[in-house]
Amino acid sequence: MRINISDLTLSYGKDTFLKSLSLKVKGPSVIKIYGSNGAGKTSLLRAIAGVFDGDIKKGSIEIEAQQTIKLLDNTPSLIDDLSVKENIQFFTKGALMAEKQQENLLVKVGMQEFQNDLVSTLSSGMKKRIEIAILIWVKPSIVCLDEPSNFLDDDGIQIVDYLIEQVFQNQGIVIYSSLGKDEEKIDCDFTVNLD
Amino acid sequence: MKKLILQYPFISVLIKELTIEKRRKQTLLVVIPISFAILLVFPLIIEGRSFVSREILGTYHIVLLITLCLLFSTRSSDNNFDINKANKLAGISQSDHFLGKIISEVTVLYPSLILFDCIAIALTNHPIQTTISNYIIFTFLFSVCVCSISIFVNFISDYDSKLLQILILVTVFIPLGLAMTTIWLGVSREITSIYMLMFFGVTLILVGFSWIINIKRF
Repeated sequence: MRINISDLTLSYGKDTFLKSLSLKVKGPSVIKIYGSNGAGKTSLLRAIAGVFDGDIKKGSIEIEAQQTIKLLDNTPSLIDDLSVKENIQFFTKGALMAEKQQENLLVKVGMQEFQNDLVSTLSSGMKKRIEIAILIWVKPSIVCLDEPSNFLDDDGIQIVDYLIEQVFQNQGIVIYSSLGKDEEKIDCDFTVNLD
Repeated sequence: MKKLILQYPFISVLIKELTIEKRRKQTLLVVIPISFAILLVFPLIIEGRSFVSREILGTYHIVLLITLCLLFSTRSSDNNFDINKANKLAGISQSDHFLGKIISEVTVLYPSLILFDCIAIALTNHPIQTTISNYIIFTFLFSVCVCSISIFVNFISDYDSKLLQILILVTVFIPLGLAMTTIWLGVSREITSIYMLMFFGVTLILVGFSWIINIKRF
């Protein structure tokens, strides 16, 4: 597992940020990216995950082929008009048809009571827990977490720790962002300052 | 089913879209009642009575088609970024997303078109001047064209500017509606065959064009 970022510059129209960033990461590892508001943390994570909607002005991001990269940021990817159960079925491509498996997964993230509720009626923290449940099931090789403890209580943070541990054990790469150097209490192998 | 979804991921998108449609009921509660109201009010405005004369039958049908398709195409706002993000999380390619989306849209629009044509026939007392099989094929091709254009406009305008969207959609729906109305009013068998071939070609071009734009966009 490898990520190679070379001379990367991102932009939204005329606003350029993250000027000439170079980074080489080899799995298994946990990397922390920190910086002030607008430093480009979320954009960098989105660019790595392949969902950045701005422009890659310069440089490149090379990721070893055949890797599943998933992103967990502060805007949920879940579909509001579907129930928790239906969302899990959609995001796992129906792989969780067995009720028991589905229930076990929801028990893991403490959401079993809400499986028939519409996602639009849930809080941000609950939505984040469901996305984490999907990531636990998908077992991605590379996972990008944007300020992972946002909206989560202590139990929720433990679930994030479980996800990170799982990815790490599978020789994967975890990249997470935080506002300050001491903001998130997650052990990491090295840090990158974007300021 | 589980194996089928894993093999053809577009089924997952299809189920999702139909579930959302079932839950939101936008076509049932918004598109159909408004179109029905226009169907009833149009002759009153144009002729001042609840009767559609032969002269305005074509205009009546085109207005019906454009209203129904326009309301259908603009009934919900999709955001490209959110779609892309959700598809990445679900591991669904843009190609599968397009396929699932177009099938679900056609599944909703096609019966609605047939239903409205039946109501129009009842109200105007003017039956469709072509065979049932021709009518079914033409309506199907028409709904595929409408859905692919609707998806394409969604990509390029991101549903931010409704006016631009409506302008593009109406511009495309008018010639498509004209072709459909001609069939409705009746043409000779030879011309129907030529029309069908033309319509088939146009459908292929529109679907292909939307598909490519969809894949290139992300």
